[in-house]
Amino acid sequence: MIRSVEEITGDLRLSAEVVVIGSGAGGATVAKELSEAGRKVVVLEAGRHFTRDDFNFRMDNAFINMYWYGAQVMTLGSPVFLLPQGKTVGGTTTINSGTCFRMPHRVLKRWHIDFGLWEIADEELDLYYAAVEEYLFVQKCDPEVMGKNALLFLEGARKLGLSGGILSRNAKECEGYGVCCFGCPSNAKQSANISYIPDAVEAGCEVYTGCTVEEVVVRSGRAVGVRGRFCGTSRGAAGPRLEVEADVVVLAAGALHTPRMLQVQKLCTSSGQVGRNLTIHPCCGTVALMDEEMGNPKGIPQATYIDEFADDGIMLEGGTTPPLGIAMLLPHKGRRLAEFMSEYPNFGIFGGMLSEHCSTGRVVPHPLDDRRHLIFYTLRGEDRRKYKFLTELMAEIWFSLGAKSLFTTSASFAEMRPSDLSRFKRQKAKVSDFMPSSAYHPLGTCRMGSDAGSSVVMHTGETWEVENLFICDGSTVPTSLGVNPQMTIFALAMRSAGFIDDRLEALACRTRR
Amino acid sequence: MRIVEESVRAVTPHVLGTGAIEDLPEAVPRDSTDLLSDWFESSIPEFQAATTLAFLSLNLYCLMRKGRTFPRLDHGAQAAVMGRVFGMKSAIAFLFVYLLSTPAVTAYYSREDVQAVLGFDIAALKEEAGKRVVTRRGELDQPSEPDAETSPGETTL
Repeated sequence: MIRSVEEITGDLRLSAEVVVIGSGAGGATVAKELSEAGRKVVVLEAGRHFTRDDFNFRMDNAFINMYWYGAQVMTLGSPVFLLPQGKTVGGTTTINSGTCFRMPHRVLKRWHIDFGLWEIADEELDLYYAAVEEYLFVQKCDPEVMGKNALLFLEGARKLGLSGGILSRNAKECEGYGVCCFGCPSNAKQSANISYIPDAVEAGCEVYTGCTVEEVVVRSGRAVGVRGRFCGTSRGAAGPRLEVEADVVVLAAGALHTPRMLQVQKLCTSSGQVGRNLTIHPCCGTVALMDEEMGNPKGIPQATYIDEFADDGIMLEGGTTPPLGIAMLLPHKGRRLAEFMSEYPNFGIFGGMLSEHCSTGRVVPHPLDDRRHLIFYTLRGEDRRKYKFLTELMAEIWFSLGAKSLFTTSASFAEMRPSDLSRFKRQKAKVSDFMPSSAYHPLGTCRMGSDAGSSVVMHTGETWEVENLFICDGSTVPTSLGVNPQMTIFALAMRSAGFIDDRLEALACRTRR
Repeated sequence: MRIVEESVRAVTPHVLGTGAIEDLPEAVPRDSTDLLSDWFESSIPEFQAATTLAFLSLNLYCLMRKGRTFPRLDHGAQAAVMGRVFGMKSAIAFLFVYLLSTPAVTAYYSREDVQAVLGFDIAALKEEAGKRVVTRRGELDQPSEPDAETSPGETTL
């Protein structure tokens, strides 16, 4: 059953075998696997539960209701990045584009060599990936529905000799409404809110929404439950209290909230790694004004990719976006904004991300309010050049396709003409020239490793310092993945669920004895 | 804060510039303040503080240069000020413009009538999506023929 905060009239005390904090890719997977194994599972989700009837194609409603802090989570550093994260049942899977990639083998090799994670074998992980892909109907986008923009860009890249292809997504019978990031209105996208969570609930799992966990209860070095609060009816008002006793606690609040919760309680902090090693994928978008109509916004927001420079940490992915997405990217305001927006049908849009790089950041609790966090992140050294190269590459492709103008996130070339490209290429990559942009896929803030001195959790997902406390979200992923991370988070959580089940079995045996 | 609210409304037509384009519906300044108040409710206090600071800075600039706050200036003077603001070219200036313009841009380009003019017909898409419910039952890659248990418009694979 999924219970909304309105159904909770007084303080609650619950007991379960497992309490899971967060219902995104990690939490939902653990909840489903363990519930189906016959375990009593309670999931606590800070956001609300929305269904396809609530998804109304509107970006503004989605930002305010389904994103953490109205989609205004920002990094502190240079440049500034907005880091949108889902705050709803299903977590970010509910509001992402649904792009599915397996982790490249070279990245797992690095985990083996640099972090001693030999227990996570290629073959084993491939089995989990295959199971998740089958369960989520992962398949390549249908060229019939992906939209002209994505195909044209791919074609342009291939003509320049660049490698790329059609993206795989966790979508079934997608009709390309173009609004995946605001909740899929047809249930085609197999996000956790319509896959893992309903199956967990069918197997007996209880999900409580609008609930913020304030404390992991630890006794004699073991996690034994959590305490939290439901949100009140108005901003800042405290709602009823909640206490859950459990044999195992699973933190799955994502790479920004999980470390904050540990830091506030000073749990698992002796390695000094909690909140550190944050990797994100800094992105920049380009909007091209074309002679022909591009079919916006019908299509898939991310449908094709260019991976020619993937080994260097450069990935391009794109498709389409509704008018507001373009209006926010255009550097012009006033009359020129209106003039350009009236050309919306002729806009092409594509994005690029720094998928592997050396810059890292950190997450710390907000000094004035420890229920929130601060995120520090700055692009350093070579990464600045690579970040600028994203725009160069997209410009090259757009202009080869005949774009008249290109709108970029470079302050000095906000509107670029074909004749500007060589000057832009010669210009040095300066942070002061990077306009604030967005970034995605935070990972690494409670990294996994083979020794307690340099990592927070072991390969099973259990923390080194607190027994029966597991972390199953992007925070344990020790490096940037080079690709969109949701499949890896699903797969690793599925793997951890097996270890949690074993632990519950061992605890039951101990009790019986 | 009243001055911020008045400024958001006064800035809206200058940010959107919709008067110049015949087909685009007129801007409704009140939409910007309504959205901003919802946004402040769900967002971090720093967003509210930064937005407030941006609008106060705009007013301070107008007071120093023109002797009046932004909402008290005539349309032509407001347009001249906003022209200068929009003409600034640096990453910091972009952040300032982002804060001043986001409420207006977001509220306006989220409107269904505006999006319909641009070719994004939400009402039609809603109707289409409403008739079509993808379920998780069945196997992948089978022909999509409705079966006896499927309600009209529901797709079963």
